[in-house]
Amino acid sequence: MSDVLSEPLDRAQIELLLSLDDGDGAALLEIVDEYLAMSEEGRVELLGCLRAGDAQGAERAAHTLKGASANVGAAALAGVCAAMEARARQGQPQVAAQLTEQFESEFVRARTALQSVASRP
Amino acid sequence: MRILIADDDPTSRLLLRAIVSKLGHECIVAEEGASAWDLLASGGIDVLLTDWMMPGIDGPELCRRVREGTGDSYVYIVLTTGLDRPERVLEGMSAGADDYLIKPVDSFAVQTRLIAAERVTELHGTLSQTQAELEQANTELLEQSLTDGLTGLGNRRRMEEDMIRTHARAVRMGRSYGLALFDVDHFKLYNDHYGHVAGDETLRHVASCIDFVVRAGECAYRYGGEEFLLLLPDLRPSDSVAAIGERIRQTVMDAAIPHSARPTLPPLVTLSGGVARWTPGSPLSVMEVVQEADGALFQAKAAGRNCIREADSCLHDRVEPSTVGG
Repeated sequence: MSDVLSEPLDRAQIELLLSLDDGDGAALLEIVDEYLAMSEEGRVELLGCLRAGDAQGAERAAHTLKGASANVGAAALAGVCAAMEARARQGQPQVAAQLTEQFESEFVRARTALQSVASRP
Repeated sequence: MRILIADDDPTSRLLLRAIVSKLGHECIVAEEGASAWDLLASGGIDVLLTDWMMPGIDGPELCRRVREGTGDSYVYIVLTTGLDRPERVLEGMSAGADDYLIKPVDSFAVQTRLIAAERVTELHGTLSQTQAELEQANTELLEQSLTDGLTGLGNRRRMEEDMIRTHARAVRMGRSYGLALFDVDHFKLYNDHYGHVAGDETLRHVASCIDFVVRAGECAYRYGGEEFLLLLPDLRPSDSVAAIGERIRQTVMDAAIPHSARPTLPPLVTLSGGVARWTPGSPLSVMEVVQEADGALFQAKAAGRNCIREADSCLHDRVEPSTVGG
């Protein structure tokens, strides 16, 4: 468990997403909505591969989640995904699985923060 | 520019599409490598922004396919990859990428790449246009170098090339070919009477008469001065070179170009012609066949002009027509 809780979202990336249209936040909403849908599927996929000891599947799922999380500014979650991807690539899904708890907590923090960003009028 | 985004992650597609559209470019997206390749193969893409890791055809494979392609226009490729695998950048550039972007991408980074992309694709566009113009000019120059400037018929150079090729082919394939040599009757008197400008015009007119009779596969040339040569490859035993020569002589007569300065009737521009034929087994070279036709032409002149005479090779051929064994 990390003792210092960092910000779940990278402000700069959120600012970038906000700047992508005429200021009405439509692009940000669209990307966050897509992320909220796909990340849940990605999480199920990743945890399933880890449980099954499927290193390649875990690497791919972690890679996709890492990229998508970085796109929506969920930098801390992207960091955990990167660490899991690297371990899975080394053929050590069981080592990657040790990060599951940290992954789950960052996952919830990122989604909660994004849901509040998305519901902002 | 028309930009193709290939990425299996929907958030990356949305993000890149929003950035690219905001920069004022047209944007199309592909969810994996295979559909990206289909879009690329149909053409019209200026820039490819592709993810490294995709199911099926991945980023580097897409780069290789684009570079191996023979498309006219240049596709500027930017590979997107994570910061954790720098060795992939080198591999991607070697596979054909022009540049790379570290994920997550931002507007500024994309914008800088697209500025370079625009410059490079424009340069390639100019280059391929110049190349096409040069090829066109070369084709025209080659055609000119083989064409007689006055009449538009083949010139001596084309004639010699075609005769050598036709003879070699006839020997190889066991086929016959025919040769006809024509001369405009009393052309010196025509020039003296009507002037050289009218003389040139008449040569053009006679050439167009010859060209009118010539069929596909046959070729007419200006042999020199007021002499023309007709080459007839792939003659069948039943084909008569003299008949074709006669048709040309008649066509020139029918054109009814006045020639009042000649000492004999009719008061028109006419042709004399000598024809010869090469048949399989003949020991004659193509130049010797020309000499035969020239000899026959001399006989036509001696016989009072405005007629066609056959060399012995033709007569011999008709006495003993080729027979199909059976």
